Formats: sequence, C-alpha cells, structure tokens
Amino acid sequence: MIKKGRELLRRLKDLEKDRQEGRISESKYRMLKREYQRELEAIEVAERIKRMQGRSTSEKPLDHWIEKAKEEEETREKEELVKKYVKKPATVEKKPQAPFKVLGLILLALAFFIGSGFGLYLLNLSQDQTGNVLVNESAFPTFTTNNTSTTTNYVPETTSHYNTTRYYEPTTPTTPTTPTTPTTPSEPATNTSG
Amino acid sequence: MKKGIVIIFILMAMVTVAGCTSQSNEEKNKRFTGDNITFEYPADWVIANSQANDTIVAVADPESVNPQTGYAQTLVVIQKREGDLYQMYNGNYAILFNNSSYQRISEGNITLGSFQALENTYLVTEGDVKKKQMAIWIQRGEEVYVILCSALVSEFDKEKANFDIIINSFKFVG
Repeated sequence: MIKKGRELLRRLKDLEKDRQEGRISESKYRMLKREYQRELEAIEVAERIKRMQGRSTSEKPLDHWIEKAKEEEETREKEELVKKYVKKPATVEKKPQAPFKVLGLILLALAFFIGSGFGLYLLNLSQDQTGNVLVNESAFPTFTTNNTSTTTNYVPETTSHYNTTRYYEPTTPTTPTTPTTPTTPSEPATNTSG
Repeated sequence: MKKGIVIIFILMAMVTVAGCTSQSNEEKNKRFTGDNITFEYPADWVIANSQANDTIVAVADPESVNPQTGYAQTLVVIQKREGDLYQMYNGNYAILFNNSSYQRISEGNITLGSFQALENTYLVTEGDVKKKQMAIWIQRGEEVYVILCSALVSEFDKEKANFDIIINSFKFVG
C-alpha cells in the first residue's frame, strides 16, 4: 500500500513536471491530479485505520513519504531559486594569492636590505679616510726640535747651563795650577753652542 | 599588488630616512676619542696624517690642501710631551721668536674646562705663505698637551668657529 502511495506521489511529481513543460493540457492536469490525490487520501485513511487498530506496518507510514516528498520538493525549489537569483561572488582567485604573498615577502626583505644598505652607505660616506690628508705643522717647529736633545727641558737647562758656565769661569782662573781643571771649561762651551 | 608596492616603498623610505637621520646627526660634528683625549671636530674635516713629532692626532679641512705642497693649511694638531708647562712654553717661544719667520701676536692665560692653559698666537711666514697659528698649552700630570690651530692668515678668522668646536669640546678621558 505504501508502495502504491509512493508511486502516486511520483506520478503527481511527473504530472507537475509535464504541466510545467506544457506537455499536458490544464484540464487533463487537473483531472489527473484530482484522481491521484483522491487515491492518496484513500491510502492515507486506510493507513490511519490500520494504525488505530494497532496493526503494525513493516514499512514506514505514508505520511513519512509524503513529508519526505514535500521536503525534497522544497529543497529542489530552493536550489532552483538559489541557482536563479543568488549569484556567487566573483570567485577570488586564491591560487595566485600564495605566490603573491611570497613575492611580497621577498620584496619586503629586499626593500629592507636595500634601505639598510643605503643608510649604511651614507653613514660610511661621512667617515674619515685617515691618511689622505697630510699635515706638517707643529707647536714645536723643526728648528727648535733639532735642539731637543738639549732642550727637552730646555729653558731651565739652558739657563742653568749658562749660569754654571758663568759660575765656572771665575773658578777656572782661581785654579790655574791644577792640571785637571781644563776639562771643566770645555763642557759649558759645547752646551752654549747648542 | 599596488598596495604591496606602496608598502614596500614606504618601508624603503623609512629605512633610508632612518639612515639619513642618523647621518644628519653625525653631520653636525665628528668626534675623536683616543690617547686619553676626546674632542669634536667639524663634519667636513678629516683625521689627517701628521708628520710632526709628538702628534697624538691631527684633523684638517681636506679642502685646504695646497696642491703644490700636498699639505693641508687649515688644521688642528694635538701634540704631547713630557715636561713642565711653563718651562716648555717659555723655552719653546724663546727660541721660536728668535726666528724672524715667527712673529708674536698675543699670549695669555685661558681656562679650558677645569684646566688652566696658556695661549699663544703668532704669525708664521714661509716664503710667500703667511700663516696664523694659535697654540694652547695645557699641563696634565707629567705631560704637556698642545692644541695647535693653524690656517692661512686670510682664512684664520673664518676658521675660528671650527677651531672653537675643537677647543671647547676638548676633554681628557681616562
């Protein structure tokens, strides 16, 4: 019986389809639909009576199939509507995204290194290159530094030498007889020349 | 894609500007530190190779190099010798001013940081070239430091600001 019900449901569906496609006339459609529905109702009533009598049926009740058929119909209609009216957003090309990201990262790294390198280059430009420029000025000019061996502590030494020279000079005449004294005057003489 | 390029350019600009900023800070002055002294010197000057004895360091304006002699004419040389400040100072100038090439302009006492120093300014004539030199003598411990600023007479006053950078920033370290 259930099978028959399902068969009727299938027929109804085909009928709807034929009508939509214009394969049957409106009057024939109505007539057949009425007939199928009447048969379906009869089967439904018989099913209900069976259930009320407590007679189990191995198959699922017809209501279930009717409901299922309705659900399927609704789903199909929804899908058709979705297909008809809901446009999918322009598919974003995801595949090229990955290489773009890699390329972007490479470019960023490159930018970083180029930027840093350029900064360092500019810094290096400002650094000295010792030895390119020569200077020969001195606070101790050459003609004075020639005397440095005697004048490193010059002023006091030269003056003290002069003093000692003068000091010695008078002493030498006082000791003319001593043979060792002639060496002493000769020392200041060399110093004064320097 | 455009967005990426813009971001890259912004990043490059940021990094470059950072480098340039750091350079521009340096552009004001450079600093020498070594042999127990430190000082700043003008950014367009360079550390020079001094042929004078007892030189710690010499800095010079590379644009002042005389193409004939190859020596810089605007420079500061810092020298160091062991000895007593006054004896060395008097002895040096007693001999120096006996030479007709040297002509005293002025001398006096100055204070350099916490140090009392002697300053002597004079003219040097070498053939057709006339130079003006200012030497600052400082005693530190057993050593006498001399900061000698030298330039052509015609250039000396213009270079005074650069000399002042060095003299005013001169400090002993260590």
